[in-house]
Amino acid sequence: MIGHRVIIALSIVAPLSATADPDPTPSSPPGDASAPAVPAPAESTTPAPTPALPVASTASDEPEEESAVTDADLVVLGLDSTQPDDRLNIHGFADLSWRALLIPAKDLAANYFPKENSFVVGNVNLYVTKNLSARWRSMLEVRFLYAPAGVENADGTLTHTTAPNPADLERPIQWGGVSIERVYLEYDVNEWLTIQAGSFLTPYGIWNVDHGSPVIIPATRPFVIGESLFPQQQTGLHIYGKRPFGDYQLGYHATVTNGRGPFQAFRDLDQNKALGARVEIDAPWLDRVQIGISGYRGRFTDRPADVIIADDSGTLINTTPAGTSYDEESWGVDVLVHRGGLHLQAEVIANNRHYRTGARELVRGGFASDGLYVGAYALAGYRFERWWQVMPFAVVELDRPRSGADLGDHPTILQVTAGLNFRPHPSVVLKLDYAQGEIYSAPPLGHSMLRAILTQAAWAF
Amino acid sequence: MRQLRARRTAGVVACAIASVLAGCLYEPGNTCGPYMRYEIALGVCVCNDDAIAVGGGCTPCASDEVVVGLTCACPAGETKNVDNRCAEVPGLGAACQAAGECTEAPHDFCAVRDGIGSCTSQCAVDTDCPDSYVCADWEPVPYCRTYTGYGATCTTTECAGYDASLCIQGHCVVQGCTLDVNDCPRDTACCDFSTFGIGTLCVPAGSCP
Repeated sequence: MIGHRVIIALSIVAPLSATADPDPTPSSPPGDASAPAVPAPAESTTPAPTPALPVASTASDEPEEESAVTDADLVVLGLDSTQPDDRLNIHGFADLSWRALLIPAKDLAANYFPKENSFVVGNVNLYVTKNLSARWRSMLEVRFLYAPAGVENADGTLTHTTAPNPADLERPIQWGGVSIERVYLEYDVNEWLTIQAGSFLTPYGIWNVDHGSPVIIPATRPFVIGESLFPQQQTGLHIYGKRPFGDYQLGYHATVTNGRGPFQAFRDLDQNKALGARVEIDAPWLDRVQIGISGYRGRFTDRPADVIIADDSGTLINTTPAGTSYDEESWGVDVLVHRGGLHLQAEVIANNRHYRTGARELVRGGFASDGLYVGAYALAGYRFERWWQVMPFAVVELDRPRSGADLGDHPTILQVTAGLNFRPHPSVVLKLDYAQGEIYSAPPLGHSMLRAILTQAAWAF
Repeated sequence: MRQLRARRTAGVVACAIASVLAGCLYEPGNTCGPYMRYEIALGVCVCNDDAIAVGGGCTPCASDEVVVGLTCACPAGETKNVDNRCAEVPGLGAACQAAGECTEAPHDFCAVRDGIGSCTSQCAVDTDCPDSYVCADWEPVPYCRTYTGYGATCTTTECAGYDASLCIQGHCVVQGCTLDVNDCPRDTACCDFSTFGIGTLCVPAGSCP
């Protein structure tokens, strides 16, 4: 139940990060990573922190050639991984939205969302980056949260997070949490190979890597992205690089990680390492065309703690409860096209899940079934030079989620989003979205239509 | 030439990834585990009629047992014998209409509900009764009774006519119990679901909202 609340909420009303606008400033040539001070670069979708001045660099530390890979979110901030720095860089982004659900409050579907129209502080993210040397780089991104405030408890009440404020006569003060979005160290072996170790955004498709709200065109994101058919983040090793072939450029990624899990950043409950890969080619067709394919294979496990019991002979032994565990594979294909102000992007993503024997998830009415989730979206927009560089855009998405307790046998989700994206200032983006989603599923939800309006101001600093 | 090589390289890598990933896990005709079946109306996997849920899977009942609620137990009218096999108990479950028709002690009590009587035994606690029975200690004379249909898999109206007459979340459950009385099958409790418009239900103990 909660899972599908999340599904739908993320897609249609949540003001979370959505799609990247890999559209540099209109005056900037595509691919000019050093130029854009505008929140929409994403020349590359590969995460890489900002280099700093080599602290203790030696001649042998110097890379043979400047790395061609850059992080879209960092380039937005004017952080250029090809330039050295001599300080710790602290930057970030934030967004404020106003959202309204346009369906009757008594509609069953409205139970899945916050039905009040609200102003929403969505993302408050900080980047802390530094070049340790010409080859070594460090990157940390944290997101500040109001959670767990507002979390629904089992008895239906909502969590209040207040504590006495010792600095103000013990009056109540609200506290929140911190999410470590990514933290990694990376090393440039040569111009074609960089090794990254830590927690990083999974290198798949377009949307997941360019995740900062200022670089994203709409304020909502597709179901297929929100459902994380690939893990959003992973912890482990990531090697990547790019190599030019004439006017073309071939990029690759390979990952070995803990895989998906409730504590994936610090505990691999099944000790089954996940493997992932991505290949992308940048072609000079039109202004720029990028085509990529991605794959992932891993095991998810969530289980209780080990139990010490005595066997038949009275010897104490350590047993591991099965919990919930499944093997999964994901694959995706993405296409990005730039032609002047025209921006087109599309992704098709699939995930197949197969539960292990005796480790199936309990859901309402029985057990979760194995199955395939396939989804796709296409986004088209055109960036004008005037009217705050407005970009009218539209997104169409079609999903076939797995069968489940909430949406029944083989549900279908169709969503259309249309809106405007303005850039009144290189670091400020204003968005206005109208989204309409239709869910075709089994009773009691049946055929539902959800409509929402979302406005958002996102800015980088 | 370089462009051709780049295309060729990308193609080879793409094929390699696709061949590793494609079809390895996807088995469209097999979406549930052992002793389960896919229930289309619910969109989930449920245990076969002769199996019960244990942890994250299903375990079949022994050949002489049936599913009673959430457990395997002997069918009504039977209990385990010395060989640990379910065997008919003389007199238990025999039809009756009035006291005196049940002559096999200790099943010499004729319990009549809805005009239908069956021989059973009097009791004080659940353990006085066979596994598939509950001690109906809310009755003037407590006796061992069963709840027909309880726990059976359903999708719509299959529960009609059973004691567990309401199909909800894929299973037949007992509706209309009395909160203070707790007139429910063994190991369940009467809970108030009136805010959901379905009144009171017997649900596994500890699962009340």
